[in-house]
Amino acid sequence: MLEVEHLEAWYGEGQALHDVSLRVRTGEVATLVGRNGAGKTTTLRCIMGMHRNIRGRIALDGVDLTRLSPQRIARLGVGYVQDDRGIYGSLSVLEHLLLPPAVSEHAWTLEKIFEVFPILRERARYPGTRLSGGEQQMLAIARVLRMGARLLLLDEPTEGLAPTLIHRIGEIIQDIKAHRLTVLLVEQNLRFATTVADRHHLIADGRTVEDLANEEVVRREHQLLEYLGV
Amino acid sequence: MIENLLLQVFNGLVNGAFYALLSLGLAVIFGMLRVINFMHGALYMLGAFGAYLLTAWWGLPFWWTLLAAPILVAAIGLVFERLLLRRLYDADLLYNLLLTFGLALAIQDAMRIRFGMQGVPYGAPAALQGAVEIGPLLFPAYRLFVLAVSVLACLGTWWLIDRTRAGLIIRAATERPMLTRALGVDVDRWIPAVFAFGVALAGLAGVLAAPMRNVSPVMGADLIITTFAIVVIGGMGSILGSVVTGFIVGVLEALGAVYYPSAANLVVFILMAAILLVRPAGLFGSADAG
Repeated sequence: MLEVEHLEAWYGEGQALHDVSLRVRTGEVATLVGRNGAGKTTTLRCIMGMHRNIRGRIALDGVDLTRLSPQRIARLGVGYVQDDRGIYGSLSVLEHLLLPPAVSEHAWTLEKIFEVFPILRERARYPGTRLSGGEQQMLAIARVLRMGARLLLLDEPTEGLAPTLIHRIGEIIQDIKAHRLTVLLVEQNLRFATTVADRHHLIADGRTVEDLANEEVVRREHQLLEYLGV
Repeated sequence: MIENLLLQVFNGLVNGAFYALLSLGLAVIFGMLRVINFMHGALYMLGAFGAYLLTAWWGLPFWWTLLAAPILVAAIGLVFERLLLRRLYDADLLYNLLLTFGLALAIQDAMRIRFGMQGVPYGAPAALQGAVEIGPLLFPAYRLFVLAVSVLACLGTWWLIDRTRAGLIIRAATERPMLTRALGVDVDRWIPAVFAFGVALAGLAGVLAAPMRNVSPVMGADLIITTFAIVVIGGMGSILGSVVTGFIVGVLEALGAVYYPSAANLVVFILMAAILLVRPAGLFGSADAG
């Protein structure tokens, strides 16, 4: 279980997060939903240890992550797929998959990765940045599965993708869930979010304001869309 | 006429061989550590003195100094890295620039106090004296040797970086240092080794220079500014860029010295200005690097 309690974060003098609290149970897919600039990406970066200027508590299965380095947090099984996908131009697709060390017994084998993402086998020798946007997104997800992440932090995986690819990403998230992995998903696309998630955490101006079950979000979709300004 | 031109290109390539080795080391270090290593020239000088002292004190032949001096220089670099540089990795990169600049001056002055400004003589090994005839041209054997060693060292470095696990981590950390850590990669474990390797290349260049150039405390200071310009032209942190640009600048300087002597030393800076205007990230740099 991931627990975030009263998280605050600053960029220089400016406070980006005021009070973010959320819980994601093991095997659950939860989203962070909110407008641009609400603090979604900052929350993920804080969990990953990439943002140092913070207060509050972040814990994974009881282990306090708050003061750990990104490297240590990764080795505890947290996989981060950042919003720009974080693909290297100087590494081939295969090298992307070989870069992270296997941090747990959950680490997917290359065989399994290629089974779920056949396109990556075909493109194994390509430089990462030569892939299409959707392929890059799959590579970024595959990379942390290969590492053996048990908690995946996905920052807008569907952004800029065509509908068929969005559908494919949805299937992949379902697949991840079927493996009893935990997902915290940042998503602007509320409709997509409701097709994959169990719970939704609404965030506004650096505060988590509501924590809703998926059915409730589906029922209140119009109201929430308005709220999000979409 | 054409013979003369070819000879100048050859001499340029030999000078470029030194630039390539030095800027390659700088590029590897900058890429991985984000340190602008201003003491690179001083370590090159220590490589040359290392060869001289190993031969003068222990009678070690040139061939062995070629191996031993770079290792010594790497060890010295490692001590500086562990004791001093690493304390400043989290600070602005200006701090390490100032630190290494200060260290360069200190090393240089220490050597000046001990050995004077005149420099010391160092002869090429007997096997490499004389000239080699290739077609109608006579090439000094030692210069051919320098060129060959430099090209081999550059190819070897490329192989290490392109084909090994360490190289994979170096490339990843150069391109996206934070993300690479967030993928669980122990980047910090490789930092001392990469620094030592980069300065060993400077040490190797120093040994190669010893029989050809005056071994003096300031020999590195003369070279380092041009080398930095080369790294900038090639694209900060670009391995290929630093090597290719090193050879290009060597050749341009040699040709400039013959056809327009007054501008020979300016060539590299004119080139730098022109390249930066057209491609601010350098010839081989990517705009989003760093």
